Amino acid sequence: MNIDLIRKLTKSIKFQNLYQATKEINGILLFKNSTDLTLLQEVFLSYLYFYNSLNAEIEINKINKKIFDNFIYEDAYMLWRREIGYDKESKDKKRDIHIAFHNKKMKFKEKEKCPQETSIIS
Amino acid sequence: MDNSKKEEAKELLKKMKDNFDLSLLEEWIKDNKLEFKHKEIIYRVRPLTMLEKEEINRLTSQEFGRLMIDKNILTEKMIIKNYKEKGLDLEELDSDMKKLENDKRSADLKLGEAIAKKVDEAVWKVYEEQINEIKEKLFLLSLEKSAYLSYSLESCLKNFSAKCISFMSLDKKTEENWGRVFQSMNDFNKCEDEELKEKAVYYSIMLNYGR
Repeated sequence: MNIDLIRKLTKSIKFQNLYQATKEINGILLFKNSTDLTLLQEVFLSYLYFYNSLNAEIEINKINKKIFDNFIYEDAYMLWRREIGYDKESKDKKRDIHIAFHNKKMKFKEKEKCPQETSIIS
Repeated sequence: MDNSKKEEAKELLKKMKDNFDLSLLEEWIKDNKLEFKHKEIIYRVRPLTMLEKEEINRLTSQEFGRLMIDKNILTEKMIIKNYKEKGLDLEELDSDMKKLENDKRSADLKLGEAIAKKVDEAVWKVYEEQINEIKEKLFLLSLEKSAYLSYSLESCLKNFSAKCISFMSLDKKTEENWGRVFQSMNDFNKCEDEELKEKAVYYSIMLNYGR
């Protein structure tokens, strides 16, 4: 299967807009058939989703749009995001959240509902 | 594998890619009917019907039975064993490929991290070159392995099944009607238009493989 061409097509502005529209407006169809998708169509859909995710991250400035220069960059980033990702990196930072509230420092522990008073900021 | 064969394989892959039109692909994806013109005749490759899929299963299991009793046809395992006895270790080829896949994965992750952390693009380029190099080595090794095993029972069965899919899904347009070009595997084998057969195999596998 010629994956490179499917990728070119799915990352095009035309198909990205169309994909967005199918999510927001009822009745817009990408294919003439709505069931019994062929492998070609399944691959096409997965790449539409792939590029939609990348576009969303470029939009919020999480990554540089130069990633679109090369399929290798796109694949490598998506692999890293899936296998390692920002979550794992920021997990340790998130474990204890300290908030200065009025003149008290509140400590929220992960999965803990009520904050505990830990110290008073003078 | 000698260099001329490697070049030939690369050339074939490039030719297949170049011959594929983006606007055609767009049309094909919409309705799953891959129309193409060949020697002034319009052909199409379409998804198989349930009945045709059942027929392919029947033909493939028949072929499997035939290959199993043919003493000249060896399974992959037997071929690997025979090569080993003659001093060629195909399992070593497998482990080389596995190692390259791991190297590629590790380079991919490093590149991914560099992109996520907005590291300078010159670094991206270094990883890109590394990954391209590994990909090329992997491609050549997998070609080499396929060449060694091309006469195995498994390969014969895979080719047979691909031919079945191709001859069943290729239609020809006559006036306004579509009809099958080949009624049987025999018709397909007898056809001397190799280019048409190549196209039928390539397109029909793209459309129907895995269904």
